[in-house]
Amino acid sequence: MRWEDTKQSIKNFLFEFRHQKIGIFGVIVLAILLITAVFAPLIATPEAKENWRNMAYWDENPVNAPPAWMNYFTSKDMCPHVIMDNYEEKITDLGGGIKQDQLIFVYNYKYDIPPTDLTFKGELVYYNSSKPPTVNMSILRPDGKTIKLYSAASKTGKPEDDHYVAEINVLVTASDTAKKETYNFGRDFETEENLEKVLSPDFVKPMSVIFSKTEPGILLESADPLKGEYKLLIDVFYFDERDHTRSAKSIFAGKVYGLLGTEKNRRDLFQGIVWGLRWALALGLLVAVLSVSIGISFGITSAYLGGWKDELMQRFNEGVASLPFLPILILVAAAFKPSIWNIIILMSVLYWTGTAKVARSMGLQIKEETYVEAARCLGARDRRIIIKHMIPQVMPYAFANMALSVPSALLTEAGLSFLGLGDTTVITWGQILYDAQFAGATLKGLWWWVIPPGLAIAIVGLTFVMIGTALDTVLNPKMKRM
Amino acid sequence: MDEILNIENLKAYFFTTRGAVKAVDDVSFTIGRKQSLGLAGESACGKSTLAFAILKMLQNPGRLVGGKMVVTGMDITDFSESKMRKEVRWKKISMVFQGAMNALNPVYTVGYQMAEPLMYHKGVKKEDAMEKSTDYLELVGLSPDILTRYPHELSGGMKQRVVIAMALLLSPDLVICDEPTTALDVVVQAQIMNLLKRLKKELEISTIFITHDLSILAEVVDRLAIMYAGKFVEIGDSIKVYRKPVHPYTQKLLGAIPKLHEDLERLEYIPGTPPNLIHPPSGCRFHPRCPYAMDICKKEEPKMKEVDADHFAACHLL
Amino acid sequence: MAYGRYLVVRLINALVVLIVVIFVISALFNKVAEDQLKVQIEENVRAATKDPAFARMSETKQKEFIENKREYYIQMYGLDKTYVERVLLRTKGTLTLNFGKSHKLPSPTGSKEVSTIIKEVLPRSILLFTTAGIIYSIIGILVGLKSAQRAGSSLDKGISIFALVTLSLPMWWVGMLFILLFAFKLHWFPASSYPLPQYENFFQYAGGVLYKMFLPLITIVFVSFGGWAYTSRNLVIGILQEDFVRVARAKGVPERKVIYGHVLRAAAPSIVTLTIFTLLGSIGGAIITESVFNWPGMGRLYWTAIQMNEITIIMGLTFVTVFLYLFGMVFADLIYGYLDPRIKVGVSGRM
Repeated sequence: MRWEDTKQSIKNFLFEFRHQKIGIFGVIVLAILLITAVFAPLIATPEAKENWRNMAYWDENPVNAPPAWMNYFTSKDMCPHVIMDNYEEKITDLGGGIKQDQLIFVYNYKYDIPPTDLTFKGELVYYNSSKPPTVNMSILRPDGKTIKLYSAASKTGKPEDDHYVAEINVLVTASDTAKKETYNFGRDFETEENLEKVLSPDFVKPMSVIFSKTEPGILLESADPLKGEYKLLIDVFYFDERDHTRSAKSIFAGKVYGLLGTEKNRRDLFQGIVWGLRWALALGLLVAVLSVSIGISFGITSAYLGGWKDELMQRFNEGVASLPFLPILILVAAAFKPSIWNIIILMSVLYWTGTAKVARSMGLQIKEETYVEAARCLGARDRRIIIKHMIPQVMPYAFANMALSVPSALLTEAGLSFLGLGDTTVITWGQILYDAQFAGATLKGLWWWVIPPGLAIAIVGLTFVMIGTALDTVLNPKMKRM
Repeated sequence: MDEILNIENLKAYFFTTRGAVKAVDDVSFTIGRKQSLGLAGESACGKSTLAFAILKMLQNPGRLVGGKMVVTGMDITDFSESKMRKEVRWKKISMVFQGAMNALNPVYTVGYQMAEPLMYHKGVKKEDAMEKSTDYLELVGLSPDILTRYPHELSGGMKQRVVIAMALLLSPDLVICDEPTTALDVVVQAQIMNLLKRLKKELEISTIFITHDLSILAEVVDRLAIMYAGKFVEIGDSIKVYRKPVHPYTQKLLGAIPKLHEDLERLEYIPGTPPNLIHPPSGCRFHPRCPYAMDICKKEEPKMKEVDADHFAACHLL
Repeated sequence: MAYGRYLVVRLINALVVLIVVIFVISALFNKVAEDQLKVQIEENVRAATKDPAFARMSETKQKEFIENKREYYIQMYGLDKTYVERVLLRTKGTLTLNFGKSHKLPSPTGSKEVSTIIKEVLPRSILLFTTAGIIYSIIGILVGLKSAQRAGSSLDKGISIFALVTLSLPMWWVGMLFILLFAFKLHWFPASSYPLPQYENFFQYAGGVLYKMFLPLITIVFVSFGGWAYTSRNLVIGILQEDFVRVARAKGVPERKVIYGHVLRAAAPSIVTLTIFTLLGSIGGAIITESVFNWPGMGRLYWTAIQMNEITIIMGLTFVTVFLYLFGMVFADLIYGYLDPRIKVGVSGRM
């Protein structure tokens, strides 16, 4: 083809493509997806990617919290997740070598549904090994009433230089003191009738009592919420001058969390979705490019060689094409636990047959055209003829086909991951869904864990389908392929 | 002479994303009983569109956008689809399709496909319809036993004969033959042409003959129309048009036919390509390719003028 | 006769592919499968030492006994043979449906024979698949015809978009959504299809199975029918442009007869074979869908086998799917040859 012709055909192509609304839309969405993938470190946090399977990294998040924007759709406001590390510190010398270190966290509660948990974390530094500090935790409500939540001597700390560090991690929902105290607190305001329903302190939800008005129903989660300024008071009693508290923070575990909520292991699903996008795009594009390249080369070579070689290659193609790919991939994945790169290669060597068939029939037509004949008469080598004359003709078809094969690659990988056969060193959407299925997310109604990953797969797939069909319509107006 | 078909200012456009393709633009003509009209022109000049427009069977995105059509005194311009089906198609006007290879449904027997028009138009039972089809098969020189055969079992020539027999089945007033011999080899082509000539003599029907190959028309048609870019440029008695073509396009077209017994020093051809029918050239549509083009040709569209008895042409030279 | 020959050629073709595939799989997974065998041999040997006679033996005798037993089993399972022989043996075993034993997972009836385990789940998968296949192909063809007739209408555009969307949806994920909606939210259907009801009488049983099958069924139908409608639409549009359709219309054949007679009859060979192909193509997605719903078919077995790392079962399942797939294709070809008077190569040969 001459350069002018090429330019003209590109112009024509662009003209036609501009009329493909679906195709244009697809290109725009793809651009957004690519930008998101490239700027993932800015949109999400890189540490989240590194620590996706390190559950300790996530333990400050709430469990199974729906997305924060849920508040727009529900009549009752659910409190978001709050981590506080700014507090007021009051140190009082109580005499006798005893020092009271009081930390005050101020929490402004203005929601209808209380936090799911309240955690205090910190490191207590002490110097006298025989005298670990004692920790008291209580909450001062807006109505001026105080509820005790925890009280105990800290565990023995780890030695560090000349002192010891005791890590402290108090969860109100796990504290027996909190259960007992909240029960005792609420009992005074409860009706006889309601009290009969509460068989023991174990039935009480401390968080609900803390954030409820002192009125009947307080123990049964039916009292109105008490809104206003709460003060979480942490009193640490030290027995040495130099003892002190460090890296203290309190977590009011939200009923809702972030853009996409959290799952059972407290992981932030937004991070998973954003980081999963990189692999989805990489996998889809790589498999598409590789498999279509294999297919085109195979088909064109087969067409060019002709004769028994062509026949043999066709039989081989048919053999591969008549295999169900997913079961075979499942077998390979179950037996060898391949990395994502190997999965990509494996899919590429299975998914080329359709392309090869069409490329071959196109090749057969091109082969008969005069300029190929002419090149051959001029003594051009086979390889040269194939590369120079036949491949460029098939390229437009190849692009359409590439776009159309991305979704099936995505779906296959997602399927493998969903069965628990994915590469566990990377984050993929299929794996998130596997975790969801494993944890019975559907049965518990954790829709925010189930919908976004699948939707993400569908969106990426659909983007390529849209581009692919538009390309197809433009490039092969006559060819009605499936 | 009673008129079988009268067409006035017919316009058929295709509405594509790039604009309206004016495939048939302001065409008028009449055909009398037992008369046959040849319709010639380069490929894609609107010949086939005209044929389908007459049957009101334009495929999407084609539309009839103007004109009037009268068939045996019936104004069919505003006929509904079902009225066309019941009263006009095949009964009044039938058609021999271009590319007979594909005109028969591969999954039905020849007999069934022949019987269909009788079944749907006359309510004849299938067996009787088959019976009657036999007569027509004999008429076109085929043996009745092919009724039970499938199309792929027949040769191209046989298929074309079946298609012709099928077109005659309801004794229509007008048969449109759209490139009836295109896909056939030369020997079979001659046989089919002879068959058509014979039928024309034996049966009292009018025909429209569409072809891009002027050489085969001479002996079959009484009148000849030359079409260029969706318009008629010359129409008239076939002998007059052949002998004394007046439109430069007709002259070129006839010049492009190789003649036997003539010194073939140089075969004439028409320079340039047929125009884009979305934005046809202004004035006379042929002017960009016309050797005699004048200023007026670019500006004004020529009108049909009578140059002789039953011989009309649209050219500013006249 | 041509059709008979065509049939034989297709069958032989499929058989050759089957043998080659099984051979390759046996060669590739020989080690994995043999590891499993070795574990089994050790278990057998240990079981033999439970014999009271064993306890009375001297220590050297005991060692000798264990060695002998081990040798015996190694010979029995053919592990002493050369690699090629072992692979061939495995190929033969697989082809005769002798897949070996599972490691831990028994079938509901307690058998550890892999072929028995698969035999128990296979009919349920086939029931689900074919029911879904029949439903969505009928809906698909009807919708496809309508949208082909009104090509470019809003119905047609809607169907095309719907098809494109469902094409990129993971079927099993749609299953999860349906569980969320119909089981968790609306409580209309059970989230889990397992266990199936006990058989009392036919109607009670059929009703019970249908109730439990409903969610997986509509999932498959929902995800598949759009694409299928789109395929039939394109097929029909292709045929609508054929000359013979124009001829039929010109002949005055009523439109309904043109569509349901000429067009559908001409499309029938492709439609029927493509239905089978689509059904086969959805096997992958559908087995995963099964496991989402706990439908006790091959999919659920796949899921359990993968979680328990039961390679022999996975290999057996793979073989069965390959087998179904290959012969499904042959079957499709045969139907094509039967429906199209111009018997030729068949669709799979040309696609």
